[in-house]
Amino acid sequence: MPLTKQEARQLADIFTEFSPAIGKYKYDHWEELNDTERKLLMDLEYDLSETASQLSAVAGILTLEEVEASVTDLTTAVADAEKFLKKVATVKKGLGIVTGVFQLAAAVMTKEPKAILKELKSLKKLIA
Amino acid sequence: MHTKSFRSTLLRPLLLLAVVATLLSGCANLAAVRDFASQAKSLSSYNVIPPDLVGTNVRRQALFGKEVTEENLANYKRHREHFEDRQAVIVKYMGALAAVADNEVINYKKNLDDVAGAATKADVLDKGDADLFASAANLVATLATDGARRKLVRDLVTRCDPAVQKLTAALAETVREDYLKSLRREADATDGLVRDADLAKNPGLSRLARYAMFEHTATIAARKKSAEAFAEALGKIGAGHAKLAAHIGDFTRKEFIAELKGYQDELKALQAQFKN
Repeated sequence: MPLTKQEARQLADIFTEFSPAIGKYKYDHWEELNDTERKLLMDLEYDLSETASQLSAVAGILTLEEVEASVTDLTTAVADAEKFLKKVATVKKGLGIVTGVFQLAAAVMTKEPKAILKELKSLKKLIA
Repeated sequence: MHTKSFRSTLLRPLLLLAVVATLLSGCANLAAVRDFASQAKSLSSYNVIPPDLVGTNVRRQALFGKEVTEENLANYKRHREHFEDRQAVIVKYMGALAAVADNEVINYKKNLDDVAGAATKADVLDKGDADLFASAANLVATLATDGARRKLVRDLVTRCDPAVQKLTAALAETVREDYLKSLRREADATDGLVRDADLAKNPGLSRLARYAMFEHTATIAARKKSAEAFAEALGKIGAGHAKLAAHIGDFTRKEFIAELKGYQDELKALQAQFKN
């Protein structure tokens, strides 16, 4: 049976308390310990700290996996909002095209080929 | 000719429509919603914690003199990826809400002024009619779009409130319960480094270890403070959004706007505590 996030955190808390306690014991009894015992305590101090951190990460992953459905809900909502914003942008672009048409008409009345060409290019950009 | 025919065929009905639309419905000012969502977006995009979900463990392993392997970083990296994914969703949602609630979205004045200006230049309308047309058309267009916008804001806020509550709570929970404890283990490992240096009976090494501890402890304390402020801010974002959902029918009520502004001010104060 896989660990729950609560169990992972409880174990992490216990190991987090034990790791520095072992470090302190090693420090206080250093002279009485032989090399093998010293190495054993040093490894144990690290292993407990590392296991506690791994358990914390697992608890974090489980916590964030629990809200997967909420991620989907918000992603759908964002898509709806973007759809609305796109519609409004399309209306604004449409008004830009109307402006372009009038500008082209104004340029045609001046009978200046350069001005007509410039407005035509602008209008083409808006429509594209 | 143009002007006379324009006045009778298009401008009069448009002006009439603008008057009727103004009488029937006032354009909602959703500035309070926009400002809250913008602040929430800016705050929830705080990006220091995700890399440190891995970083604190790499530093701790180094303090123990252990080699960092891909295998023992796998869970830390997964935690970071999940955190970043969830955080990005909140940021996107708040950004979208702020964008829809922004009154400028439904303001067509500039676009219609451009149309009016071009129409005047093309001699289709005289300036007075063109200006009147632009103002009336903007009013009609704005009011027409505003209904859809208000409906969308209400729909987004009510539909998404449970998800916002769950996501902000989950992010705050893992910051408080998991990340802060990882920082504590990093601090413990720093203490261990000093003890080990003392056991080596080398005064120079002990002094160096103490100096490193002094620097490192201050850095960890700053990270802890930022993380606590971030977790608190996530709670405020959730509370502010719940307030939006509760007042869905009355976004313009004075008391509501003041309350929302209060949340925004609290968020600003918390953001000032974040360190990059």
